[in-house]
Amino acid sequence: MFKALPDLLQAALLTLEVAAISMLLGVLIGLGLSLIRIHMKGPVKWFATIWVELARNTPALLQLFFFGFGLGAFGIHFSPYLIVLMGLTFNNAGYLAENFRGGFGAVPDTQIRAARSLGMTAFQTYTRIIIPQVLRIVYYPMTNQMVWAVLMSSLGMLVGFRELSGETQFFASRTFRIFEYFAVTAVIYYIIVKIILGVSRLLAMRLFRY
Amino acid sequence: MQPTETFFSGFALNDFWFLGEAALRTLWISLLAISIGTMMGIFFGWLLSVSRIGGGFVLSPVLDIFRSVPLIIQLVLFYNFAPIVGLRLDAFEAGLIVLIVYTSANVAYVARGGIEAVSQPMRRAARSLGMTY
Repeated sequence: MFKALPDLLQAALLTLEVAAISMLLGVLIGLGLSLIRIHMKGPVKWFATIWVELARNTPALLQLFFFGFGLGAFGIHFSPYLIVLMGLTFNNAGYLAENFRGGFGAVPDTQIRAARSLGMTAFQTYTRIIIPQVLRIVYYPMTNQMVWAVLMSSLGMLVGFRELSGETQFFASRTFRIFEYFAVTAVIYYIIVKIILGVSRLLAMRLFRY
Repeated sequence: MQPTETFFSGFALNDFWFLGEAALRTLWISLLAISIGTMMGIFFGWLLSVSRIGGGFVLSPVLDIFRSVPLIIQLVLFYNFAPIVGLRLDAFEAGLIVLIVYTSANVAYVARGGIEAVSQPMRRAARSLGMTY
């Protein structure tokens, strides 16, 4: 039982890695999607809207299955790692886009006009004035989303990805000690989430000093 | 020519019947879990907001467990835990119980936020008008 612990912890690192990368990509894509939905018209906007709607209104498991087996049916095959990464990124980007849209709504328009009248270009206005304020507003929703990403990555076990849950499933089906292994995994997940929340609180103290 | 036997068949029209049946089950389990879970969650939220020690130090860590362990892990865990303590549950009941607890844990924090958003003066004013708790 305890001989499996190093493997489980290794798998936990993999979980964290996938969640973190998907979160990073999700923030970038989500920013793009929300900006598109605010400023653009026509097919580009429809694309962004459809993305957000699909990501928020279908189960994360189905999204993973789409990248795994749906594309697989058309002969496009990915490794389990990529499947989980793409599925999570798709999901995160959709949810974060809505968060960011709320954030952009909360930054007053006068900020944009003030920055523009100081001679900044539109790009400078966004990267130096608006987006930092938005990130500050959506910091806590983003923390939640990070926790959510870690929890959702556990669905990877259903597409054959050997992260924490997949590894547990593997050990459990080899030894038939299902309850014991999953209990250990639950504890590890709990600790991971607590660590993420603690780190984010420390970061918030450092970032929001002013 | 003899039709070859195969395990796979295309998506036929009468497959919608099975999918519809499953969708009804989804709706039913969600309805039950949400309604029961919300009621329990409001009660827990009230406990959280009322007592520092009982709510903050006992209930809150317990609820945290259900919020920070992935749902599938909880489902697998409970489904395998129930026979150990001698409960005979089918998949629907086991899933329902896990979903109820999960929903109530999530709703509890929302309910606490809602209760604490009502300002203290409002409460004092109501009590001083002679209302009971």
